[in-house]
Amino acid sequence: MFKGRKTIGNVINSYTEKFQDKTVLMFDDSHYSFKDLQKTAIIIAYNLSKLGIKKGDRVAIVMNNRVEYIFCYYALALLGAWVIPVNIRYEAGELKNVLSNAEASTVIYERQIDNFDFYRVIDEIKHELPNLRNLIVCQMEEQVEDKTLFLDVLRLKDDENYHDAFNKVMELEAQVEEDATFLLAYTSGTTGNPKGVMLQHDYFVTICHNLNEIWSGERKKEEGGQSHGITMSVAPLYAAQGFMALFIELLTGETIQMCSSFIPNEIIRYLNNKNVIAFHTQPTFWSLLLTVPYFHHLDLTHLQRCVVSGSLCSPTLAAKIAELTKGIIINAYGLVEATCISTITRLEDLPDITFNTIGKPVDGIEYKIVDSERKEVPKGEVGELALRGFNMKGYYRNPEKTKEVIDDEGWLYTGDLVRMYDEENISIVGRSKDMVVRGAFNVYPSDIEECLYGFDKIHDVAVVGKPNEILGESLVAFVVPKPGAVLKEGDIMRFCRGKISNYKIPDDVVFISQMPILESGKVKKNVLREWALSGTPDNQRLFFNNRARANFGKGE
Amino acid sequence: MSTQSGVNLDSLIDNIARIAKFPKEEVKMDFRLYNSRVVSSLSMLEIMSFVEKEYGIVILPEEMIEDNFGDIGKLKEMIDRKLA
Repeated sequence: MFKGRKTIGNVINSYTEKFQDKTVLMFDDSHYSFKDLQKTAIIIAYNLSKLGIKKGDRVAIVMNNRVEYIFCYYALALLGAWVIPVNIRYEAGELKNVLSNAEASTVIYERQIDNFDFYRVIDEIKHELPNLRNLIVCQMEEQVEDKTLFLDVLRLKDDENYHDAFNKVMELEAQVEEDATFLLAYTSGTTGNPKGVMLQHDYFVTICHNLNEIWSGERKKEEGGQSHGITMSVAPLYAAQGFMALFIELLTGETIQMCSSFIPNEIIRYLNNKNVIAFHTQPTFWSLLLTVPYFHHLDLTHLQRCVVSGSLCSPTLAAKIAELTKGIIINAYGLVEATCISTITRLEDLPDITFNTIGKPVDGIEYKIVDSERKEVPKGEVGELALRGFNMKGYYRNPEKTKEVIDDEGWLYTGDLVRMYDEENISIVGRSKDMVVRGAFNVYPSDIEECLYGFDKIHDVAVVGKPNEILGESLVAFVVPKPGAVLKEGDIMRFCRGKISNYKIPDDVVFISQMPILESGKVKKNVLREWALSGTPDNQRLFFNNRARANFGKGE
Repeated sequence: MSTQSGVNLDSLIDNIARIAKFPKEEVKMDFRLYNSRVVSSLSMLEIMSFVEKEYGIVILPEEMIEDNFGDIGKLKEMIDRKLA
């Protein structure tokens, strides 16, 4: 366990002092030592501080995977600023909601990502963000009056020297408290009421160290003992899986390989490096890689461990990964509200445990399984998982929502239904919260429903998930049109486009005559889930055209 | 599954529209795939997987490039070449 001050900046600084020229980061084909990483981060931090960015300021990063993202994480940690890693799939409205809720003072962004013009979008919304002071743009060389070039943040002026910048930034870092917020991560409500999770420095440091000890296995346990292998992560840096994989290595003095691309050709090239001993990614990405015939001819036996997290890894998938790589599968579970990873299977676990459970809690985490009144259930029974240990400080500017999920004793109620698999290991059996995990993303149906309530042809809508072999779950929207309105599936998708992120647009749309509801007026989503799985009863479906009516009852 | 008879364009567009979650009537030959905001990298892999199964071809990782996957037109040309 790290013995010094547990701020992210201080921990990385300490490893830099110790390891200097050791490679800590491999990004695409470039290698960076601890010294390289620190030098760039110090310069960025120094320049950001000259722009007035200080401890407690909220700074949003809107970038695809690039090495500059990692420099910014470190630089902002040094300043004690709060980092808001922004989902680059957001549409303009979602982005504005998040930046507004966060009261962001600064946005560091790429001007264009995948044909989406963030430069134009941010220019359009900036007037509605009164706290915004700094716009720092990547991929730009021409000076613009109200913007700072990221290029300029990466270098010192001719009359400045690194020594002074270093001392200044270290002075600022020394003032960052261990329990200060480091990350403000938005989980949901991007169309309505965003929920920004405040995560603190020392919890990140402690969890990362505890995780590293769990899978260091044969490595020396005394402080300073390091492996000689590389961990590779394939995940967006704005997502929990991406930044956790990064910090687990950065905060423990190890080496990580990340890529800017998610194209199999590139992933395979780096995965083929025989020094890569560990691979972190989510089940959906594994499912897709396994459908590539070429992938099965690779020799991946140099992978000693495969960490699968982000969504539930089915026993079938876990077995396929184990078969292909001959490595040890590690299943990890967590939620952003509990600093991302709470339970994990161990290296020594038998396949039975790895394939069927989410393991046991990480050191420092307590758990209990409770009923709907938050009382502990008898052993072996299903209940909601509650966690305590490294929970969030709360939802930013939303104490009501915080109180709903964290009680006065500090227990966080996860909304996940579990049971004990054996004396120590936990199995997930379902979910009580209204959330769908589609691919790598947590999707809150309320985001989609809120969007579609704005469609004047819709009377009522409810969205549920249904199992999907590749994605884990897909989204099904049940729509009750207004009387006389004629709608097609394409109309729903067209309406959603540009208003909510693409991954939230329903995969399937079913038109029904009325919503199944409880006496309280709430929608019976369990009924809808059943319909999504087994088919909607014919007497509930709505048809808008003669062909559909002609085929009524013929199973089409 | 279409094999030696060539690309069923309707089916190709149907499936790409489904994966991209785009109204089918708006998906044309110049519909962007590679480096497109609408089609994520995960969706690209889904498309690749569908094409391999549907047409019985193998797509090597180094073939997942702009020239072959830039838009539906280029994708169709690549499939036609592999089926020829």
